[in-house]
Amino acid sequence: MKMKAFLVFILCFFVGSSSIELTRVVNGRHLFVSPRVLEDYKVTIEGERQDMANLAKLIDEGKIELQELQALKAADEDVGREVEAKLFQDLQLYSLSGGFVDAQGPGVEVLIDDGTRDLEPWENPNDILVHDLDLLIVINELKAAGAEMISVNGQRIIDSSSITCSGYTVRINGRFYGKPFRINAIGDGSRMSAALIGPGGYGMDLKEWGLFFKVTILDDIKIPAYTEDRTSKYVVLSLPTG
Amino acid sequence: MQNKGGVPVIFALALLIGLIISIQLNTSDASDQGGLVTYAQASALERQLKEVRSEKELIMAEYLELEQRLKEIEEQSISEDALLQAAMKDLERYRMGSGVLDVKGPGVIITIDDPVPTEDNPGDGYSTIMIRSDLLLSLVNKLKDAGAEAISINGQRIIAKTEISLAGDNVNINTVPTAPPYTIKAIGNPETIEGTLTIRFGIIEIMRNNYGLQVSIAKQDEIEIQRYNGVLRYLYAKPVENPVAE
Repeated sequence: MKMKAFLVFILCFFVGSSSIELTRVVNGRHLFVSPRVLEDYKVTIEGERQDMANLAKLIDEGKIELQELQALKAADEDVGREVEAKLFQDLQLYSLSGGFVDAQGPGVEVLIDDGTRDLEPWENPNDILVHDLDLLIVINELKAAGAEMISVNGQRIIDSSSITCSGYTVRINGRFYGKPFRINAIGDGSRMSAALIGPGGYGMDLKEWGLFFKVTILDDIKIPAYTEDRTSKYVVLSLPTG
Repeated sequence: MQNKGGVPVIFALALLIGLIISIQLNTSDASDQGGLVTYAQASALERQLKEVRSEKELIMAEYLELEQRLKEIEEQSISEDALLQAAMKDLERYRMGSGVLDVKGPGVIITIDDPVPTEDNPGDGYSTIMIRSDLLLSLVNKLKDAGAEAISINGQRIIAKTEISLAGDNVNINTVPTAPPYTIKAIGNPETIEGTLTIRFGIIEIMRNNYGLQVSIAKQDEIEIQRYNGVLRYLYAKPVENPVAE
């Protein structure tokens, strides 16, 4: 008798804990999600970790700088001169990265033009014309291949540069340009050209469509500074409170 | 008599246990890409992500504090010389143009997520928005065209050399791997930006109707966008020597 009661107790325990397990999963949300979501979470976590590593690098650099300055202060040396040197070094770096000065260096010149072949009867003239998305993708590929500075028809590409088709012309940084399009990029020339005209490169796709596409590796390219107005109307600095 | 009374109870319990075990097995059997997985697995990763994010916030705070201390020392030690003061102002302008300062202002927040998998259409195991990352590229271009002054995607600030590239299974932005859901922040005129994006047959309509993506757009009075966290180092590009120093 006792044995049986014990057995029933164990069974009840099992049933109870199993139903707890089941309800915990429900919790008022989707019971099932796509396996893709798991993958997405993993990638996002990986990305955040990389971001943290970047920040840690910035912190290390800052700490070294702080130590140097404090050491100078302790030794009663002229801190001002050190700070000034750093200031001018920073001025040079950020004026370059922000597109405030002309830049030069080795890189590639990409020439893209409308196709000259005859249209097949079922085709649309749009099929062999250069579009804004073509330029955007080529520029994006160049950046992914390590381009440091880019200009399109002499317009420096900065953080707020847009490229938009408008009828017969393309608007770059708010100014209008017609074909052909000449993209200059400073960086590793062979890597950038391989990314565009290598197997699966976007340049090969454009060529297959019948557009004119040519990449030239050059030793010395000049890319002009951004010359349009860049007054900010909406954005302000959010200074750290401390 | 008592013995017989216990048998149906045990029978019923055994049946229930069998049922529960089979349900459990069924739900955890879907580990292949294309099937569905239980929410429990996802929530474990969600917790992990939250931990990583709070860790990152701590590091960020440490960085901001360090920057503040450096700035104080600089301001104390730099002389009242007009030229140097002007140079400091220039530096701030340059750094703002390079995207290495935190900024805020009015704008819009857009979120993009993959289509909800349904019984009829469970998806092919690939993320729509990641495969068509040129949609993100196009969206960012439209934002800039609408006058957005600062943009970030999943915390990655868009600067002059930012790429959005499909590398293997990931979309890399500023060489940092990202995944959906995508949150795009843009500072600028909220009305102009919203109008540009939601125009009929515009980018948001294309994302929704042609690709089934879940897109939402919200205007905000104040958005904060973080600085570019990567390292700016130029190996090939050099400034052209300016005969006139600024």
